[in-house]
Amino acid sequence: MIPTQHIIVLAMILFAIGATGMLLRRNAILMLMSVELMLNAANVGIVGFARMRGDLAGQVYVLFVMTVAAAEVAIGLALFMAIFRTRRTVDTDRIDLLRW
Amino acid sequence: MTLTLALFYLMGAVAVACGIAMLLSRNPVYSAIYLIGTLLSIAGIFMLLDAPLLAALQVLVYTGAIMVLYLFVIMLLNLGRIPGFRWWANWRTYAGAILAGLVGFMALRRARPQVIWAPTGFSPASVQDIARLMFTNPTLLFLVEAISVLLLMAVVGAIYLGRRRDPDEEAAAPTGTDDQPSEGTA
Repeated sequence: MIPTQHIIVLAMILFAIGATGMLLRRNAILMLMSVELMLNAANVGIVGFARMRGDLAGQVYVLFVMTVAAAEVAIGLALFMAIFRTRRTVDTDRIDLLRW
Repeated sequence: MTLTLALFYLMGAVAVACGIAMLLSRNPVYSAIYLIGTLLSIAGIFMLLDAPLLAALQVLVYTGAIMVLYLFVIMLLNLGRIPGFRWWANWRTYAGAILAGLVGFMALRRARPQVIWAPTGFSPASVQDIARLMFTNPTLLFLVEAISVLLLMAVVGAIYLGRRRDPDEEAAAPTGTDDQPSEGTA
């Protein structure tokens, strides 16, 4: 059967890929996609632990994480649409009005 | 039993490969397609991990709704090929690698070499069990209510951000189409 360690290692690798994309890519849409990948990695970890403990509550929490991800995407994409309407770019290096 | 493990490794490899391809792709549409591949693989992994409801919702919500929204916005913004990121010339790469190494080193130092045996066989969680737990446990029931308020706030916020502006407000807003928008006068 699937050992829990392997599930956690997979979740860690996916989370690392998402964090790398979040830190390195400068396109706002791609940064949001990296956040999605990180949330999914956390979901994989939660489901793995729920299966290990035989606890159904973990799957309910994964449902909540999916809902929060959907809300985050709706707000984030609406924000970037509003930014694009005035600045004509979604490059986060060019959206630097509040930078020092 | 070994078939299950082989399927897990296969889908994990597909998920990681599609994730790296998403990271390296120059075209945002290709990135979205690769992310769909990752999410579908994760749905398969949920299927292996006794969560068929979550697998179905992963396909429905993520690849069905969220990624279509991403593709729609990418095509609406008309993002073509974007300049690739020169990660080898970026100090953030090395800072992130050093930080991740430190965190991993600390985690490995504290880890115990103890094998945790997962339960064998499949016992898929039924929708009835999940719903009964979600609507009878007081903590989870409160979270359901909080999530509903959050969704309402997200809907209202998205509509507010995406609304059509008034003409006078549009005239007052800075139309910074040049390289250096008027930050000095703002």
